Amino acid sequence: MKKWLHKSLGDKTLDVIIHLVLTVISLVTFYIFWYCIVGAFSTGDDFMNGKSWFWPEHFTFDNFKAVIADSDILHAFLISVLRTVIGTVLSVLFTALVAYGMTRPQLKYKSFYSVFMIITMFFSGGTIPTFLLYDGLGLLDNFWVYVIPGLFSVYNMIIVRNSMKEIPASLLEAARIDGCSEYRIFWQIVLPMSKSTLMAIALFNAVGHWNSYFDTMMFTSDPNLQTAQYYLYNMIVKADKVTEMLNQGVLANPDVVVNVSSQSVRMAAVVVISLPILIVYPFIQKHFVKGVMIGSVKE
Amino acid sequence: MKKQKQSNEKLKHQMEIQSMVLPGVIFLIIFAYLPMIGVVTAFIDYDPVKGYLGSEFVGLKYFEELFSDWAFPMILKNTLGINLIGLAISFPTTIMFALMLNEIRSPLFKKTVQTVSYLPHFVSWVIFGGIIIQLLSPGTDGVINNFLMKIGLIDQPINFLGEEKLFWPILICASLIKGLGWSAIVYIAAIAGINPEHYEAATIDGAGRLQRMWYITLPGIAGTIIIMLIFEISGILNSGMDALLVLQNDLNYYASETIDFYVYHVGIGNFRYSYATAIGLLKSIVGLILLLTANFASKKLTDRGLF
Amino acid sequence: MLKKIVCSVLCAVLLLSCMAGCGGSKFELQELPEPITGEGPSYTWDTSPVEISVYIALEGYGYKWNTDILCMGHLTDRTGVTLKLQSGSAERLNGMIASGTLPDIVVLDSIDSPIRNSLEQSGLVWDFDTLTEMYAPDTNIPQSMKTWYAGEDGKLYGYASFFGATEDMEQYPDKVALEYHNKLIVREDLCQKLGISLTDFETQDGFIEALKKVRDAKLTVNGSTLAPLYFMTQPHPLRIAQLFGMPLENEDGTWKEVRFDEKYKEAILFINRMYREGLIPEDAWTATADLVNSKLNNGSVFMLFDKSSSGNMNALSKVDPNASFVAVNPPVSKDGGKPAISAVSTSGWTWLAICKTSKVPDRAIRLVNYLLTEEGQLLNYYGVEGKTFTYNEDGTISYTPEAEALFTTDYNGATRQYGLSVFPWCFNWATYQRFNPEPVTKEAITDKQINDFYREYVYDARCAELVKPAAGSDLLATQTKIDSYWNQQELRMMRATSEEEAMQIYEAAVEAIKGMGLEELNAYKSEKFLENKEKIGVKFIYDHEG
Repeated sequence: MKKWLHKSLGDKTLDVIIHLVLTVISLVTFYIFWYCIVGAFSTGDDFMNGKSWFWPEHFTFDNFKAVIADSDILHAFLISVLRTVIGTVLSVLFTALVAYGMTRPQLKYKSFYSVFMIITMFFSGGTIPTFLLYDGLGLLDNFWVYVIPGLFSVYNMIIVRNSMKEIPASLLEAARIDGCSEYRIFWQIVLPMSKSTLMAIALFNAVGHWNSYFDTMMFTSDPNLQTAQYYLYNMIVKADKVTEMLNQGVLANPDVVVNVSSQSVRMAAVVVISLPILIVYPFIQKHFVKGVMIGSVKE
Repeated sequence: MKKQKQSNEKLKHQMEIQSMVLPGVIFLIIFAYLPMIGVVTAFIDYDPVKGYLGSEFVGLKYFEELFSDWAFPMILKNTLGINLIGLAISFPTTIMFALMLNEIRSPLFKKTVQTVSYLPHFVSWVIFGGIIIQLLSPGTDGVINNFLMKIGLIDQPINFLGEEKLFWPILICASLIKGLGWSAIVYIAAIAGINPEHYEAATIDGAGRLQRMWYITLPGIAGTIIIMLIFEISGILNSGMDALLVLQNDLNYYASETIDFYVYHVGIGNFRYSYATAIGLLKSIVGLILLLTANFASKKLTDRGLF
Repeated sequence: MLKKIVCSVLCAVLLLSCMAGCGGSKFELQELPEPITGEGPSYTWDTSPVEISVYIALEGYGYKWNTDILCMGHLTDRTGVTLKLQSGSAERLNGMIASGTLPDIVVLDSIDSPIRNSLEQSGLVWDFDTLTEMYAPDTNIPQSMKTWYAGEDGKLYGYASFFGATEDMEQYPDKVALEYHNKLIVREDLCQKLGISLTDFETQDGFIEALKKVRDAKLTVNGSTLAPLYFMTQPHPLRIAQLFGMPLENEDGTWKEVRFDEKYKEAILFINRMYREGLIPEDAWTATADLVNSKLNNGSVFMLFDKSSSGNMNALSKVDPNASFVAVNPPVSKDGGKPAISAVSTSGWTWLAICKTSKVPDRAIRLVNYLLTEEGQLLNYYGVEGKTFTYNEDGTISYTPEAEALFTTDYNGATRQYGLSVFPWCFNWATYQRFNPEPVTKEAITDKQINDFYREYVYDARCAELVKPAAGSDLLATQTKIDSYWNQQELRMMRATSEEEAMQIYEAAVEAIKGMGLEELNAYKSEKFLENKEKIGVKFIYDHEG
C-alpha cells in the first residue's frame, strides 16, 4: 500500500478518478437545476406531462409574467437585499468579536461561558415565548426583527473560534508587546487572517437571510416589510390554498381557466428568487482562494 | 509597585477581553434564555388565552403519553435509522468531496464544480423536494421512470416515493445532494487555512498525493472534522422537517414518520403546545447529553473538543 | 464540568422566574360605546372615517387594503371603514393572543379551529346578540346559524362563512341547494369509441370490465396514455361507501362508526379489486388536485371519482372540442340500496369574531352588517353594480361586457384588479347560487348536468360534522392517533395482493384501534351527535326508509 502511494502513476490515476467523480456529481446536481430552468420556460401542460425534461417543448415567458405580475415583488427584493447585507455584516462582525474573546487564554470563566452558550443550541421555548419577547422589545412589525435576533450564532462562533485558534500565538503576543489593544489586534490581525472562514460564515448567514420566510410570516404583518422569499412562499401556498378551497367547493368559480400550472410557475419563481444570490456568489468565492494566499504569509 | 502595575494591566486586559465576550452572553440571555420560559409549557396544559400562570399544572403527563404511544417505536426507529445511516454516508462523503476538490489544479474546473454543488442549497426544500418528486414520479411526467422504461430496465413505472423500502435511500441521497457542496464549505475553508509550506516540505520529501492528503490535509482539518462530528452526533434526534414535509406521503408513512414530524402532526397541528414542548425538551436533553459525551470522548481520545 | 452546568441551569431558572413574575392581566377590555340610532340600514348611521384591524388566519390570503381598487374603495365609500388587513398563520394569532394584542376582528381559518373554543370561553370576544341589538338590529344573521352555534349560554359568538342556512334553502328552493363532491364522471366520447355503454358502470363487474377495456386499449391522448381512472384527490373508501348507500347515521338514529359498516368494507374491497386489476395508476395514490386537474384538462383520464363541486371542463374542450364528460350511475352494492351522499360541510368555513379589546365594536358589527346585505354579499363575488355587473330580468346577475372580457382573458388579473374575493370570510354560498344565471354555453350546461346528477341523494350531515373533541383535549389526541393509524392500514388494505390479505389487515386494524381508545372516543362523538340533532330539532339526519 505504502509503496503504491509513492508512484506518480498512482497520482495520475487518482487525478482521473477525482475528475470523473466530481464531473458526475456536478452533472447530477446540475441536471436538477437545468430541469428547474426548463420548467420555468415551459408551458404548464408540457411540464406536467414530462415532455419538457431537457428542453422546453413550447417556449414561453408566461410563468415569469405570472411571477412578476405583482409590483410588490420589487419592494420585497429591496427588503431582502437590505436584511441580507445589514444582517450579514453585523452578525459576522459580532460573532467574530465574541469568538476572538473566547480564544484568549487569559479569559476568566471561559468554560462557564462555553457551556452557557452551548445550552442555547439545544433548548428553545418555541415560537409563542419568542413572540412575547419580540412584542416586549418592540420588534414586531419592525425591520430590525430581521437583523437583531440573528446577530449572534453560537454555532458560527464555534467554527470561527476554531479557525482563530490556528493563528500563531506568537504573532498576537508580539502585537500585544508592541502595545496594541485587543480590539486593535482583532481588527488589524485576527480579522484579516481568518478571512476565509469569515467569508464562509458570511455566506452561511447571507443565504440564511435570503431564504428565511418564517420570521416574516410570524413577526411582521406590515406589507412593506415583506421579503422576496416570503413572497415566493406566499405564492406557493396561495396556489395550494386556492386549489384546496376549490376542492372544498367554497371558492368555486365556473369560469376559472388555469393557463399555467402552478408547477411551472413555481419553477420560474425559484429562478427569479435564486438569481441574486447566484450572482453574488462568485464574488464571495474569490475570497476562499485569497484565504490560501494569506495562509502562505503566516509566520 | 511593579506588581501593582502589572496587576492593573492584567485587570485592564481582562476587562478588555470580557467586554468582547459579554455582549454575546447578554445577547443570549435576552434572545435565548428569556424565551426558554416556554419550557414550562411541557408541564402545564398550556392555553394561550390563560397564559403560563393561568394554565393547569399536569406534571409529567405529556412525557408518559409519548412513551405509551403506539407510534413511539416506529418514530424512534425512523429517526435513528435515517440519521445514523445518513451520517455514516454523508459525513465521510462530504470530507472526501472537500479533499478531492482541493486536488483539482484547473481553477475553471474547480470553480465550476464548486458552484454547481452549492446550487441546491440556495433553494428551499419545498422547491428541491418538489423537483425530486417530479423526477421520480410514476406518472407520465416521471423523467427517471421514462428513462428506465426506454432503456428496458423496467416495464412498469416504479412508485419510488411510494415504496417504504426505498424511502430512506431516497431521503438520504436527496439530502446528500442538497447539502454536499454546502457542508463542504467548512472543510474547504479549513483546508485553505493550512500552511502551504507543509505541502512543499512533504513534496520535497517525495510524498505522493494520497500521502499528502493523508498526512497533511486530514490532520490539518482534524479539528474542524471533530467539531462537526460532535455537532452531528448531538443532532441525531433531529430530522429535517422541511425535507419530510415535502417527501412524505401516505404510502411511505411507516418509513418516514420521525419524532419531529410526529410532534408536528399530533402536537402543533392540534395546538397541543404542551405535548410538542415536552417532546422537544426530552430531545434537547438527550442532544445535550450526547454532545457532552461526544465532547468528552473526543477530548480523551484526540485532545480536541468544543470546550 | 458538572458544577458549571448546574450553575448555568440555576442562572437560567432564576432568570425565568423573574420573567414569570411579571405577568398580570394582559388584555385591555374596552367598554361598549353609547349606541346611536338613525334612518335606513344601520351601516349608514355613522360613516365617519374609521380604521378597523382584521387578522385573517389564512395563509396566502395576502390582500392589502387599497381604496383605489374597486371593491375596497366601494366599501370605504359606503361605510367609512378602511380595513387594516393582516393575514398569516393561526400560530401567529396564538402569539397575538398570548401577548394580549388582539385586532378588532379575528377570522379563523376554520369553524373547527381549536382557537374558537378558547376564544368563546375566555370572554375575549363579544356575542353577536348584544352587539346587533345595540348597534345593528337589522343584521342579516340567519336564525339557523344562531341555533347551530349557540354556546352554553345560548349566544352566538361568531359568524361562520359559507354556512348552509336552512332559511335560504326554504326561501329559494329552485336555486339554493346542498353542494356535494361524490360524483362519478366518464368520458362519453371515449365510451362510444371503446364500445362501452354508460349503463355498464351500474354493476361492479360491469364497471371493472369497462375499465379493463380502457386499460387494454392503451389509447394515446395528447402524447400520454389514457389512464382508466383517477380520484379527486386520492382513493378513499368513505366516498365509495356513500355511493353504495351508507349514511353517516345508524337506522336507529345513533352515530355511525363508518369503519365497521359492511358497505365501507365492501368499498375497501372494491378499491382493492380495481388496484389488483391494474386500473389505478400508481401516482393516483399520492396525487394532488393540481396533478389530477392537469391530467383531466389534458384529456388523459377516462374516469374521475369524487369530482368536486367546482372545477370545469372548459380547459379540456379547448384541447379537444369533442371531448366531454358525463355523470353516470355508480355501481350498486351487493345488498342493493341507492347512494347516500353527505353534503359539503354546511357548518361553514371560516369563523369571524369581534374582540372585546376593540375600541370600535359598534363600527365592526356594522361592517359585518354591510357585508351581509345583498350589496355587500355581491361585492365579494360579482363586484359593484353598474361597474362590473348588472341585474338580469329574472333577478340573476351577469358581468358587464368589459368585466366579462377581462375575466375570460385573465381571471386572476381581473380578480386582483377589481378586488373580488377580498371578503370570503363574510360570504354566504347561497348568494352565488341565487344570482348565478342559467348556463348557456355547451360546457356550462354539461357542468350543470354533472352537478345535478346525484342531487336527489344528497342529505345534510351537519350533525355528524361538529363532533370533534375539544381543542387540546386528550380525546382529540386519541382521535388524531387513531385516524393516522387507520389511514395507514386502510392504504394497505386497498393495496393488498388478495381479498383475504385485505380482510386480515382490516380485522387486525379494527382490533388495534379498539385498543387505542376508540370506544371512549366514539361514546363522546355519539353523544355530541345526539346533542347536535337535539339542537336543531331533528330525529334523523337521513331518511332511512326512502
